[in-house]
Amino acid sequence: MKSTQKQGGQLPLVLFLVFISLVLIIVFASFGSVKVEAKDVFLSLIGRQENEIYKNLIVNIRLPRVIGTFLVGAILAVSGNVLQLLVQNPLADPYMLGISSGASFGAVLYTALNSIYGFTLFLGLEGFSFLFAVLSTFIVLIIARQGKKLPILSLILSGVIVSFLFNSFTTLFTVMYWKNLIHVNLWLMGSTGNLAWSSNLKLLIILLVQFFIVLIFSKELNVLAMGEEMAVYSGINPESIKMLLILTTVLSVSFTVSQVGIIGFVGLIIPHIVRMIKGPYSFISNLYSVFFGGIFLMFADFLARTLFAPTELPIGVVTSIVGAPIFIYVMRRKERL
Amino acid sequence: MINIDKLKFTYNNGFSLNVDELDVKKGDIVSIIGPNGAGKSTLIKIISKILKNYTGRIMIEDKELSNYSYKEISRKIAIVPQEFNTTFEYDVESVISTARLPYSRRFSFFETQEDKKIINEVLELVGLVKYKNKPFSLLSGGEKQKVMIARAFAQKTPILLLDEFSSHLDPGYTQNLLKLVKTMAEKERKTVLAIFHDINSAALFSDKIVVMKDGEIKYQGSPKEVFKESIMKEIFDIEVYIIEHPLNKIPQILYK
Repeated sequence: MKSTQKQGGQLPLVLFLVFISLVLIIVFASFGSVKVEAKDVFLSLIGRQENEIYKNLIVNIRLPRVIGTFLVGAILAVSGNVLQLLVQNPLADPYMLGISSGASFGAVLYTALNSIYGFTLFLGLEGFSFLFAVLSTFIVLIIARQGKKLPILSLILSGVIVSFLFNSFTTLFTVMYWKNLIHVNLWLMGSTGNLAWSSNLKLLIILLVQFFIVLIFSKELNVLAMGEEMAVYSGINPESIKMLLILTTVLSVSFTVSQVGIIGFVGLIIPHIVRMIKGPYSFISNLYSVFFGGIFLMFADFLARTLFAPTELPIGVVTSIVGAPIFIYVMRRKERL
Repeated sequence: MINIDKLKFTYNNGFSLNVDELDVKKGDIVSIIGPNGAGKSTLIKIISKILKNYTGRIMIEDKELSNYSYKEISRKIAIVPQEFNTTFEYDVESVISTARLPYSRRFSFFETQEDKKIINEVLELVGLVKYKNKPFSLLSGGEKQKVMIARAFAQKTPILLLDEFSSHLDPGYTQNLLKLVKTMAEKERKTVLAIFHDINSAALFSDKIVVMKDGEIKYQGSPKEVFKESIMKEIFDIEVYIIEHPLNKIPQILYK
């Protein structure tokens, strides 16, 4: 690891990644059930597209999906990286705090109430899954809390326990009302197909706020990644920083899950790969997680849409099928070094 | 510099620490010895603000410890722990740079020129300049402790706490690091409170020795005052001869 990689000297590479991301957004937006030339995507992007059908297809359907997918991938990867550093466990992922199980339960509960009893609830499916994702994490935090402290081991354990609990309720509901709930299960497997400009704007704001917070506290996150005692030696109150970063992550991931369902693997492997290439330094690893996570998820979504077109695969399936071999390859290669 | 008065601390498992009085003056090098479970590390952890909820008074430079914020106390006290490792591959430089955090301002994301200069100085001091960008987790145990000593010096504090920092090291490394710390501490007139596993090292290292057992201070004084066969028998339950070091006239123990 060269010391220049830790701090300055990042600009050329970052600009390159921005450029690559833009090119890939155009390329991936040109694929789908109807193939559109990359040139036409570009023309639509700068407002020079004359074919109204193309324009509509690209501006209102393809681009929001591809760009939204990038944002989702970026948020999940940054969240995963922050949590892994925070709990000093490279196996942590954004769902370890019970977010996914809470969100699933919320979605299933909403659908059951809605389709069986005909309740119309003003929050909608997304609102319900967001609320329950946040709720389950709060339960995890309350259980894990010991006095004023939030020990990491009990955090992980209560995450597992609360996840099991909510998942059991989800299974119970599914078994009881499976006929009404099949489409929820599909939704839960994750899809970025419904992302529109309005939700993309929210996702963008979330990503920016989240990134800003981890940027401000990047030194503190580095020290916490070396252990809580190290944080105290260095004059940092580990509890308050930990709480702040966890809350930021939880809210970001919960919102993301409520928009696109549960997309696994991005938050686990992308931070890993980034740290293997760039080292763990929090500012750098978070910065690269944004691009690596975004590009990876766009690619996974591209495969999900095109592999068996016109049938779409759940994107979570693709991230796992593509992600697992990459992960194994990177790990094996690392061992040999 | 450090004045402790009627300190009481109890763990959940019932072990309690009772330190009636302990005064460490500025520039003193004080060692704590005692058997396992005597409460030595607990005392260091309380002074370094890792353990809270104690009763009694701990004055650090005329201000009560609980009135210090984490950041303020980290400008007064630096710690070399018994053992330290990183899960992630942080390099030596970034481990040492954490010692500069007490002086950093919000919105300054990178190290200042002064931080860099200090980091280079302490690395030179311990002779590890060439390891600057090596992953910390790949160093040997002795090298890691050298880095942690360098880190503690980079923190530029008047007080240094050493928690059995040499107990996992071979004799050569131990001697080397003890000399280094002692020379540096004397040069910068640092106040040092160090826990020792090795009784003889404690005598060579310090002006004053504190003997602890069962959560209490049983004896304190110069090495000559506390190195008595009866005291060693009472505290450690060992049979020893006390002899005088031929060079510097300090008492040392020999096992019977």
